[in-house]
Amino acid sequence: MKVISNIGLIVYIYLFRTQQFIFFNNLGYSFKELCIKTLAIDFVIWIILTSITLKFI
Amino acid sequence: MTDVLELDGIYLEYDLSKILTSIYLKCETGQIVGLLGRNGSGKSSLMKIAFGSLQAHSKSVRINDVFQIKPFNKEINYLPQEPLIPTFIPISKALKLYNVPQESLYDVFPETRDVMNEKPSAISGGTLRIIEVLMILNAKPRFALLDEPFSGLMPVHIDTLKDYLKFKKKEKGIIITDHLYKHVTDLSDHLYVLSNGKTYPVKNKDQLMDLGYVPPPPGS
Repeated sequence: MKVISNIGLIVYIYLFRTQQFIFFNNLGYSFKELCIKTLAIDFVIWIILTSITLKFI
Repeated sequence: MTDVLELDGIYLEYDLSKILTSIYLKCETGQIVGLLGRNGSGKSSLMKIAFGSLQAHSKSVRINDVFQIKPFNKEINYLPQEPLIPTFIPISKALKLYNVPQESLYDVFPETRDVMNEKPSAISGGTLRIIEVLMILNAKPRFALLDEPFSGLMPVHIDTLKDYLKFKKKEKGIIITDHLYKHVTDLSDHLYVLSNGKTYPVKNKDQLMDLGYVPPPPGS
């Protein structure tokens, strides 16, 4: 579910929000680079929170 | 030292329609280069290709004869014709990310002081455009590509911005395109017209008529 929602989010951003990436392109970041970094951080936070939650169940 | 940005060998087509075929454009630091052309002639596409956000079938973008293979290399900044600053980022934060001191804006447009903590959606289109243009001009890269920087600005602000562009060109190379062509011709050290996928250097204003960009004067 997590993977599907993240893929859906990226597709949505790619199709409808690409224009806003010019701001970040000027800073030296490509769309691909930003997606990879954001997804990596998102997954790390998700795994940490999931493992904490599972400990208390 | 003068830096030189050169674009050529650019080929772009959409659905078998040739948009850009024979391009040569040169911009040095210390110059403003104007790019004019009809709607849909490919001006914005050319700027996006130079910046790296649009892939062409072939291209040669060089700075001081060094090919710029990797896009977004912090040598060229691009102001698109659409709003630049994402709606969720406050103006002060955007300036900080671009390493632009807020004071550099106050000196030119004091009214920008009142909107520093606002998000773009809370600011008028004209004020936002001024902030975006100043942000691009005050950022570090040596070259700035400005796509319709005067859109939505009132005449008095256009004049102030023109003066500031003349001031900033001392340290930057600026390529500018806008449908308010008289401002572009006033500012430009060199002028090109983009027509039928080709760039034509313009030496005098009569050539703009010959290339079909401006109408002939009434009665001629």
